[in-house]
Amino acid sequence: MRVLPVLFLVLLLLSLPPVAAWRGSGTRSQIDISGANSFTLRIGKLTMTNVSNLFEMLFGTIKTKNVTMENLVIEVPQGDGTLRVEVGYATAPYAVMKVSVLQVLGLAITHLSDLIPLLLGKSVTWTDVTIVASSMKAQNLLLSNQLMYVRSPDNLKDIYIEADRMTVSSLSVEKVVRESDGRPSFLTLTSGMVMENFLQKTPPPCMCISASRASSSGQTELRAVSIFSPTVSMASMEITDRPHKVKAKGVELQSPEIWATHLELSSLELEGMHIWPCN
Amino acid sequence: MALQLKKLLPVLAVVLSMFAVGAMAHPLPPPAPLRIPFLLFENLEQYADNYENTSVLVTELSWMRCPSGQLLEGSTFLIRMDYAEGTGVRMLAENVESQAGQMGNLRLEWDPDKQRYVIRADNGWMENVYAPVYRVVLGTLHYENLRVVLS
Repeated sequence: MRVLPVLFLVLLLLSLPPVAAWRGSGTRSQIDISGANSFTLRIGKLTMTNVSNLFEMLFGTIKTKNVTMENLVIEVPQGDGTLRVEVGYATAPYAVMKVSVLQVLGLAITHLSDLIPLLLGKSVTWTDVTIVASSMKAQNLLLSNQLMYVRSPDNLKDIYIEADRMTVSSLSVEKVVRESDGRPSFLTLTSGMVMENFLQKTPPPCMCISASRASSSGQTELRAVSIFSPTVSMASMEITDRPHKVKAKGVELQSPEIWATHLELSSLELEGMHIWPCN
Repeated sequence: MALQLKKLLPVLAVVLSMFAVGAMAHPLPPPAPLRIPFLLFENLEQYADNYENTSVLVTELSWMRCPSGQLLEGSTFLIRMDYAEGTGVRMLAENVESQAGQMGNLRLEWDPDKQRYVIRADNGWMENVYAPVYRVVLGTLHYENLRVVLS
């Protein structure tokens, strides 16, 4: 009978993913796990309340509530490049994350003093946290100064889109693709998109398109370079297990600015359309 | 003789400069406003181009139908039709405005042959279209109740 706990530990260790490096110090913690089956969250300041029990945590499921994050950077390796999401401030009433057991142990060791409050369901605040996760789900996310990008826009070659307000019933960042000239963009599929007071501008020979309202009931394919919005809200957001896709529902972007290389809509309804050459 | 030639030189210069002005491109006359209450189309293509040193919006349609009449109003003429159906439409306009519309399978994509971004849609309709046009070319046109009035 005494062998059983040892056997359990051995089996647990065998089930772990391969580890490249592990390090941690003080309030700053970082764990790097090799392989593309992971994405990275770098958080300047994280405040959360743990709601998962010890057993769930040991198996790499971290359930949290009342989450606030400052200076969040998410790096998602996808297909032919890395998608980066930068957020100034984010809140979520509930979030679940799948991480490796080693990640849990690493976070526990680097925040030993917070371990008891964490297990008792008290709110804790950590600074400069780096978490390598395999999947993540969050509900009712509010983001401020959100920038999603694969590269800086090239004003000479990219399409520029702006709107007062953009709502999307569902959105999925499928993968990073390479254009014929090697420049990366991220393939985004959306459905149920509405844009108010939108303006679109192509590179020279410049063509401008404006509409007081544009709505697409079908699927929209956007190969974007970067998407910026000062205020974003969404009913839910998920970064799936491999292959990593960023999926969101009930998305609303205020004053979005989009740089893209390609736009395709299955069906678009326009109100107050105006097209003109603008160079 | 040389003195006479010297006197002729300014006159010659004026004459030559007049020829030079004549050889320069004529500025385009003001575009003729085109108003269409309702337009149905197939295979739309739109892009910015240059026509007679003027930036224009090119609109090409493989097929179009205006079931409820249209009006092309130039400086010296006025064209009205109760019904029009055309193929191979090519329109060069200052801009295109529409109050409402629907486009099926709309794409904004890079055209490697044209070396520019092009809007394409498989089909759709537009309501209350207004376009100041410089030039309209039609492959074929069927119409009903045509009226051309000199203004």
